[in-house]
Parts: sequence; structure tokens; C-alpha cells
Amino acid sequence: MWVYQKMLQYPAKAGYKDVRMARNILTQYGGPNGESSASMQYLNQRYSMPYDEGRAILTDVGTEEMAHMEMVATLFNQLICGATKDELIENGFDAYYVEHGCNPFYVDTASVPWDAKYVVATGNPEVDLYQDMASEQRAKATYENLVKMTDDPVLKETLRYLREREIVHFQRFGEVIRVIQERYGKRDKKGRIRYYELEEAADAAE
Amino acid sequence: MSFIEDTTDYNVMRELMPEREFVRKPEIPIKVPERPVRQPEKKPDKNLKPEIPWKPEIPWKPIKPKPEIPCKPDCTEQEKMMQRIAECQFMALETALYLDVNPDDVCILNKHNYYSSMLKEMIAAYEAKFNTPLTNYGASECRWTYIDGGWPWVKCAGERC
Repeated sequence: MWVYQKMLQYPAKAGYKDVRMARNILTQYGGPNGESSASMQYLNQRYSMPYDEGRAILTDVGTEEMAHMEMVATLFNQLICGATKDELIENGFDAYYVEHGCNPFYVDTASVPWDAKYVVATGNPEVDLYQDMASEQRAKATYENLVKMTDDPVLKETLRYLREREIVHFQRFGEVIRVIQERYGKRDKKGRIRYYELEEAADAAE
Repeated sequence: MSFIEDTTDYNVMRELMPEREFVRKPEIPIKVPERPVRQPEKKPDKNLKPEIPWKPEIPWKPIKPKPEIPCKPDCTEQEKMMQRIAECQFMALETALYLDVNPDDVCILNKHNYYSSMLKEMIAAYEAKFNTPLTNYGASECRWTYIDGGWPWVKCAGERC
């Protein structure tokens, strides 16, 4: 269950109107490495996670990514607010405007709509966690590229905050991998790595 | 130990295949573990103090509040309080993420509890002072003021793009 709190995690602010940047920032909303992909991925992976540490971290990080989605959408709203017709056409944003107006939509910078293909869930906790770590690093790299693409110091500050959070999430996922490898990653007589209690129960019954 | 009865007729088998030896398998006796003798339970002494099952190794220290991050000069009282709540919430979230993976770290747990309780108080104070519930589970007087006071993504209240 989720509870909405009427506040942003961090005051998302843009210094001035910038239609070009609004378009670029959309990739973190509905792009392959964006916050919605991350959130959907983590919250979806919880159901095959057999360890409580993993369940907790996937829930909490997935929830925080939702808060980041709201921040990115707020940034988009502020960057595009008050844009004129000429500005939209100049920055190649008229086609987007015709379809979605000033509302953020789940598309990347090339207007490719969000796809469930961006999300990975294999059912193997270790593989999924490595994928999550990679997702965090990709999101971090995207934020770095976005920071490079703007001169607005206020916007940069918000993007830097979001980038920092990706690093923290990366650390936590790495710790979960370490914990589960220490506890359950021991090889059995047949040389297989143990992942599930279910597997062990099946072997005991043999 | 065998559950199936050995019904082989060894005399017939010997006649059929004289070169092979047919010997009845020796029966392995089943070991029955001895039942442990039950000791009468001792009645707990009421005068003794109950033992604490787990004691944190690190001594619990009071947390020193960090100096406040200055707000913008033109911010209102409400914005100021909201910033404090956001700061507190950030600390609680950060420690919570760490505790998810390291649930036995007493030092960080202490910190988390401090910020968690402070956050609760601050939200209660904010909601009481400005009569605006932060969540739709909150209460408000006279009017449902949850919808008032601007939404976080709106730059200027009442303005449309």
C-alpha cells in the first residue's frame, strides 16, 4: 500500500524556462533508464525475492524512485511553463505539444513511448539485483549527461541531488548482493549455488 | 533394514544356478533411540529480575542536532517548516535504506529512531498550525483543506500553462 504525501522529496526547481531542456529531461521520466523504468522494475522484482533484506530494499528504493518521478515531472512542468508557439517550434517540440500539451508523457528524448521491455525480471534474485545495480548506474550516467547539457545552476543542483540518490541506491543493492551471497551463495556437493529455500526443500525430499 | 519381506526360495535358486552363492541377507537390527527422561520443570523464582535477552553492544548516545540549513531570505513560515520536514524525512529515509540491509546496526537504528520521532512531531505541528493534512488520511477542520495551499508540482498557484 502506498500513501501520498503532499510534498516533494527535494525542492525541484528550474532557474528559467528552457524548452529544449524540458525535452531532454523527459528521458528520465519515460526513457529506458528513467525513474519509471526503475520503479516498475524494483517493485515488480519483489515477488521472487526470497530474502527479507532484498524485499525491504526493493520496496523502499522502488518507492523512492516514484518520488523521483514526481520531481522529474515537476522539473519538466517548470521548464516548459509559459513557452510560446515560436519557442516550441524552434526547439522541435511542436509535435509533442500537439499530442500531449504541457503534460509530461512516458517518452524518451526521441519520443519513443515507454515500453515494458525496459524492465527486467528473471526470478533469480542475484541476477535481478545485478540488473538493478546496472539500472542505477545507467540512470546516474544519464543525469551526468543532463547536467552537462544545461547552464542553469538551479536546475543543475536538482539534477545533482537525483544523481546522488542513484549512487546510494547502487550501494544498497550491492550490499544486498553481498548479504545473500554470504548467507546462501554457498555451493553444494553438486557444485550448484543455492538460491531458494524451495530448492533445498526439494532436494531434502529426494 | 528392509521393509519388503524376503520371499526368495533359496533352495530352488541353488538348483537353478549352482555356480552362484545364495545367502540370506543378514537382518540389520533397527536402532530405537532411547526416550529422554523428562526432568521436572523448575518453577521460576518471582524475586529474580528477568534477564534481558539482547543488549546492544554500542552504548546509546543522545544525538546532537546538526546546525539548521539556512532557508531562503524571502521564504514564509510554512515553507520554512516544510523544509525542516523534508530534511528530517531525508535523514529518516537514508537511515531506513541502510537499516534494510544492516538491520542490526544499533548506532544507525538509534539515529533513525531519533529522526523518525522528530519527523512525527514536526508533521503533527505543521498540520495543526496550517490546518492542511499532508496525506489524505489526515484530518482537517471546517473544510477539506487537503486540496488547498498549492500542489508540489505547481509553480504558481492558480496558474495554467
